[in-house]
Amino acid sequence: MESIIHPATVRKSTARIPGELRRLGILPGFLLLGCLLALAIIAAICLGAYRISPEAVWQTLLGGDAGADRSARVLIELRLPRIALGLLVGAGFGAAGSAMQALLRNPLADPGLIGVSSGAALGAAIMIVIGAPLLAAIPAASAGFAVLTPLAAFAGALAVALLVYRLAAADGRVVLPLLLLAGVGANALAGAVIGLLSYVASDTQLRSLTFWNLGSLADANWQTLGTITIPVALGIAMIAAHTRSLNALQLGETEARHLGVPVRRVKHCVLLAATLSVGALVSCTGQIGFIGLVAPHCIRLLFGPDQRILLPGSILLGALLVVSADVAARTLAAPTEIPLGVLTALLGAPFFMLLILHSRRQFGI
Amino acid sequence: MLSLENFHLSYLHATLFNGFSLAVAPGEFVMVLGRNGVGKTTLLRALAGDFALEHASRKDCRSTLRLNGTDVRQLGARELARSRAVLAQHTPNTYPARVEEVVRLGRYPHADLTTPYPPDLIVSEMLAMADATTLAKRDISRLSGGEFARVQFARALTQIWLPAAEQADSPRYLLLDEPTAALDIAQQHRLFATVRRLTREWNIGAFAISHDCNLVARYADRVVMLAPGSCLANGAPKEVMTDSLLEQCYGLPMRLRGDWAESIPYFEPA
Repeated sequence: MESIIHPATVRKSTARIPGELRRLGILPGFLLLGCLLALAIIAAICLGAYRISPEAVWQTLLGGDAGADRSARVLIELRLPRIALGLLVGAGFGAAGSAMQALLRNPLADPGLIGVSSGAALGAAIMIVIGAPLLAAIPAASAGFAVLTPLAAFAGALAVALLVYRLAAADGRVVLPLLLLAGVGANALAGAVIGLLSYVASDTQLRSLTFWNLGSLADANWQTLGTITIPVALGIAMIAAHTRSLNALQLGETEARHLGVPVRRVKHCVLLAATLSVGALVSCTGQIGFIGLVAPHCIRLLFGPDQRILLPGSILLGALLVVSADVAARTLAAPTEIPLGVLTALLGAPFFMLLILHSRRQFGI
Repeated sequence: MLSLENFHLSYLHATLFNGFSLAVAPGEFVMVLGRNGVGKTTLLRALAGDFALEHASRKDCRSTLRLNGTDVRQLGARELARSRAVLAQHTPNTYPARVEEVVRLGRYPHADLTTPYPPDLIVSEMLAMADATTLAKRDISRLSGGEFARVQFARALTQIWLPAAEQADSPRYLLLDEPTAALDIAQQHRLFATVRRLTREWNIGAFAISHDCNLVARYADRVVMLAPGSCLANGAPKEVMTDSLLEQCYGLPMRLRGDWAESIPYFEPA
């Protein structure tokens, strides 16, 4: 009885198939991104309130008379740690963003969604407005204030992320749509408390609060870099270990489970990785928006949704965006600085709107 | 043999299944009939291992699922996925991706195994088997419902594909939840004919849900008719697809036209 069914004739053709999904080549695309990043790093080294010529950079790096030279000191104590922090911020946000968008199957997902960014700002705000005046009575504690604020920010990031997780999980099972809603709620609450704290803050406290809300790489130094590189690298490594599972998760949670993906473990791992890396970053830079959203989104449009390409691509593009935005932040209004968080949003938001305009067809208009 | 034993499930104080057992043997095509909401998809999920693996701690849900004699809890999700593929009824939308990339995800549970067979070759063969070769380079998010269903079918086949030499020793199972719901009449017949052929050629056991008595009569080796909380009938189509049992199954008088002895009869509401 099967004989009534004829196997379809297989059409073979080299011509372009209508409706074929076309993409940028991966090798040329990544080479271009790499070159742009190298250019951005060179620009970041040379440009700024104090200009350093490329020859001077070369001589310093070759180990010339480094100690006495002014440009060498600017380079090693200010520029390089700042560039390194920028690379770390871009890589961390890019990686966390690509994983969150894959996990939630939502192109609008951002690492800040799970409350880490606003939690860090909240922790810092509580420390600045309430903690600092209390600690001022103890001389030993006030000396460590510079360390205490990032610590409070990190604690705040973890606490708010944990709250969001608790709201969205039962028996270790995370319900992703609930995670989105809980994130929106927690972010609104953190924003309200920060608003309240800024209302009662003194002028000096308000200036420090602004730093946390707007974000900046200005506090970069080798010591903090050494500390935060560990959680950021750990976070990226955890995400990198799950790229294939995240690919399978694109089919939906149930389908992924039927393919043998350990869905629970992947969810926990990705959430923990995003919290660790983004939490560590925002606790020394303040809130920097849009990188975690825009970088993976662009890479997906260019190279497709394969997480094995999306992750390194988002890391590269994230680093490129942050380093070049920081050059702009330092030079556009020199000698003053535009807050980096403002600039990333100022550049990122219109770009994002362009992307929306470009992809409106997908939504049927 | 994929066997579900002693399946209990209560949901909102109603008992849906109470001590239900069902086995699918390699080489046979089992199809299930029943009205809306009777628990067909729940039964399929139980056979897929969803309850045995995921909700082991729930009091209102108990079951034992054995794959070729081994409790799936000892196998784990990945090992189970190598021998059992599921085609769900509703699949959420995905990011724009090429059809061939989506089908290739079917090889996920086999990634750590070394075989001389390149995944791309398996993918293109399975696409051909699902009559979806022309869709290979297309964007998955822009397919029609029927095209999408054929691609998902190809992915399920990709998941349980084995080289011919290994097929006899490792029975595998294919669970299909209304695979033909979005297909045109030619594709409906093509899909079930393919499944029936594969049960013989690949040594797989297939379990499918369908609402079309005529397709079931034509392709099933065994029909399971579900009534709320129990199994109405379980046997060859010729034996169980009678007017009275079908009426009990759907609550609608049904009439069989034709004769099993001469050809495949067809069913219509009386």
